[in-house]
Amino acid sequence: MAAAAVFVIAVALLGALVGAADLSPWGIVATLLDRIPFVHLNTGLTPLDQNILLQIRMPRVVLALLVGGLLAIAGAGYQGVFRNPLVDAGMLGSSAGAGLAATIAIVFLGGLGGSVVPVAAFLGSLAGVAVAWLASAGRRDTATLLLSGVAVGMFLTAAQAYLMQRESQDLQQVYAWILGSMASASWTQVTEALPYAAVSILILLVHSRRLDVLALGDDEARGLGLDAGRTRLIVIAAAALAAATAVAVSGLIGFVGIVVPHVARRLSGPSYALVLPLSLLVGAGFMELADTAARTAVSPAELPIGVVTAIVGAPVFVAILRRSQAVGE
Amino acid sequence: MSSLTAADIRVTLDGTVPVDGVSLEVETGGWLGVIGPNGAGKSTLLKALARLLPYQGTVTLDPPPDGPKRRDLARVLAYVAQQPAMPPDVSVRDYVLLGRTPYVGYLGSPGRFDREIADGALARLELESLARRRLGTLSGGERQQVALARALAQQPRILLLDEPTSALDLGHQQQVLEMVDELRLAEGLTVISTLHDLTAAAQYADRLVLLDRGRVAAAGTPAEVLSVSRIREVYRALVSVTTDISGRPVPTPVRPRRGPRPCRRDVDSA
Repeated sequence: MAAAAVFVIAVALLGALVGAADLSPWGIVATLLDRIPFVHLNTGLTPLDQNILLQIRMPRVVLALLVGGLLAIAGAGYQGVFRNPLVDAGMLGSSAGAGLAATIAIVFLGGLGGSVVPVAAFLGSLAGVAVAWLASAGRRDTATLLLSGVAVGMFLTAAQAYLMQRESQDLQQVYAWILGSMASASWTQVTEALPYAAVSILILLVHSRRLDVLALGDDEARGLGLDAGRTRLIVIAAAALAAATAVAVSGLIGFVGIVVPHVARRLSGPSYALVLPLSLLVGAGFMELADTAARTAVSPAELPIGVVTAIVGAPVFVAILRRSQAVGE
Repeated sequence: MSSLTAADIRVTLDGTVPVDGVSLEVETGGWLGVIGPNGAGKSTLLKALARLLPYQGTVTLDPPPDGPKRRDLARVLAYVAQQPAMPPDVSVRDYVLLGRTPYVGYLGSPGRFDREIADGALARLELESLARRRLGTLSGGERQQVALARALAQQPRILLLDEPTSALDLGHQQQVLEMVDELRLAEGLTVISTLHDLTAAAQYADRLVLLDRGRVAAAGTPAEVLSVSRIREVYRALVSVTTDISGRPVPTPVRPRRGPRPCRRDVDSA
């Protein structure tokens, strides 16, 4: 855990260091420490450099850490609830709901200002999960919920595709959002996302041990005194909130929710009491690395961050799939 | 003194009634075997007694749990499924520690005391050597024993075991059942188990309930329940029942008599 925390700090500093303006590592560290109350240091950075660091790079770094951590811990939470390591935070209609809502916002509400799309994506993501949950209501098994999530997702994606085909002048904007980006990161976004992030992360961490019990199946979990249905609902709601918060500020970024919990599991063993906090940290670090790669690989242009996570994530996903098939055999 | 009394238990599942008006009671420290053919409702009844399924009727524990919550019940009654789900990468020690779940607070985590109880359960069943093994590497017999250790870590008064020996060979069956019996006698545990094997049921349980299509066909001591005619009626099986040295019945399957069959030489020459 300590090593993961050091990893996060290191990649955060790397993210703050890399960019068009040449800032010294000591200058960055001193400027950041200087922000701590009662600490006064000679930073060696010009006011302009400080401004670049504190108003451009740091909000982006913090937002990337937050989004990565949220997507990863949400994915780990879903995997615990569904007892399946291939479930992603974007499943259950979450990504498709966010996608359709964001597309509606871009197409029909584009004139209302920049904050409409994140709010729409946030609500759409939660609504997608809620519809999937309601569609499977009355059935206690997790497979039904997962399949209803897939069905709801396909329907919402079809609706989104229809809208995009009809309003093709907005295609580029929709695709830019779908592929995810941190380019417009600001402290406002960070402070808006923070309360939702804090609540969802806290709930997930509190329930991490219950996911270990849930791994025994509903009957045995209830035999051990756990209210399996209520635990599942709480964890799904918290994971949906985490994923919706991430989607609202960054667009759709795939694979983080699958790949990072897998890495965490390899590092810590199967207990969710460790997998969840470790996913939070590794996810944060991974996303920051991905964002650093996204903005430097083809500089001065930027790659969509979803492309970077897909390049890394897809092969790892296939590797997990092959491994779990081998275990199944 | 009755440890558990169930009256008129009726379970409805998807429009069918797998358990219909079953009443039973088991004495403190007793072993009640629930027997019956496939589909008789044995496992469903056991799940209802563990309150894992909604049911009509009443189940009374004496003394009752400290409160109405599920965790209160889990402190006095432990249920072991027929094939317990065992995440393959979890260690035996961590799995047994999950038995402490009913004692861990909402925001808490298992403490030193819980670890001592879990280790004690492993030691009680002489499974310390398995503690670091992953569940995925255990044999069928080891899995059943480890599941029993997890149930023991709950420190229950009543053990509900659904077919504890269904996947085991004869030797391991005997080992697990002896282990349960030893625990029952040493710790005063009350045991209710479904059992497929009538001979084992007669050997270990002091009372039997025979279910047939969700209803009680017979209840009493093994000698009272396991008669040739009743087994024929409920199981549609032909058996002979002898009595062993301790006076317990030993049902043995008998092949139905047919006419003389041609021997191999006759077939070859024809």
